[in-house]
Amino acid sequence: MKSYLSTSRSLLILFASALIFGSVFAVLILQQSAVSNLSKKINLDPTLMLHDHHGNLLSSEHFKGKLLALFFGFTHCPEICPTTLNDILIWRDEVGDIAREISINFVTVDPERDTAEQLNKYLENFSPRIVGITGTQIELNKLFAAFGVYVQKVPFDDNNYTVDHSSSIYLVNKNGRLFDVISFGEHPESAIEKLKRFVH
Amino acid sequence: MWFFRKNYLILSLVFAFGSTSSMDLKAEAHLVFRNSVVNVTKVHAKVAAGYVSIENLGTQDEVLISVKTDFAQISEIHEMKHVNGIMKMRKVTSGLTIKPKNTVHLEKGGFHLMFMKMSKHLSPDDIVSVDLKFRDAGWITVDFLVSDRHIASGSAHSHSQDDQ
Repeated sequence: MKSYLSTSRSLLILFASALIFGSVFAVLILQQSAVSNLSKKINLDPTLMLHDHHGNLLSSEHFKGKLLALFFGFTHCPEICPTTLNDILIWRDEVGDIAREISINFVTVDPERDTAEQLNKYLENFSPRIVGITGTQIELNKLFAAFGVYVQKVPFDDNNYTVDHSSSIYLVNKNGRLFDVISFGEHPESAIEKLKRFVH
Repeated sequence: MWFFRKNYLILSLVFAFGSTSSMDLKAEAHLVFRNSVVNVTKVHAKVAAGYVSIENLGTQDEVLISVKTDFAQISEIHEMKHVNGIMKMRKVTSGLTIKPKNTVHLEKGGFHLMFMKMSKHLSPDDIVSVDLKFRDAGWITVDFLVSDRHIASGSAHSHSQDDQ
């Protein structure tokens, strides 16, 4: 009986140890995965053909050799999109003149309603320095896939619809690698710190 | 001293609850409305969000059922959720319940009034009327202040003007 209890206790200790070790290992793996994602190369289709908010053609060349900040949203979005565009302009100003080198891009997830003209009118609210990007759904999907952006059209019952979408700002360095991501709701100090590291 | 204090309190309540047009506070039936704001971008906004805090002073549940305005063709109650880095917005079809002696806050990042297909251009500092229909209290008109100040989350100030 005593031997049986002792064996049970040993098994319990072994199981608990395995559980703790497994958890620590899983956390390390996840951390490693997040770090590797942050420096991953953004592979854009070289045939990519989009339009900017002036209606000019915009190819994959636009995304090369510059500091890019990309936000994926739509002009019928009442909260996150205007908030994020305002925030990034404010943070950029906080970093100083050096941050004006960053090309801020607003990529629509709703090309059906966000024509170049609509984007142009909408972006007048924020800054002429922001580049609005639209195009066909097929071409935009290539961009979404390259960044791993989630986009899902959700119909309402009144012939209207909304679009669920990733809400982060993606920072891409001059080598075309993902430098960092600013999450929606991230503390301004943290966002400014990331932009400072991005431009220095 | 006590007399003055007591009368000051009564006077404050009369002013506060007697007002029917203030954006800071309105009381009607068993409901109190505070901080009613319609949030807009400056121009060409196709949509706008409305925020208000609604307190139920009654002893039973109250339910906000529907919304209408003359500045938007479609007015609905929506809920925004931010899940795992993804923004999701959904129409609230079953109404928004306000428990007795409780306040429901329609605010950024949560429940809000969603105005779509805007039929009128709204400018900051405009005051607009919004009709809210409640299950028990019926229709109540609440004035909302049009503002763009709620847009920036990170700071109270706007970005530099040389971009304009």
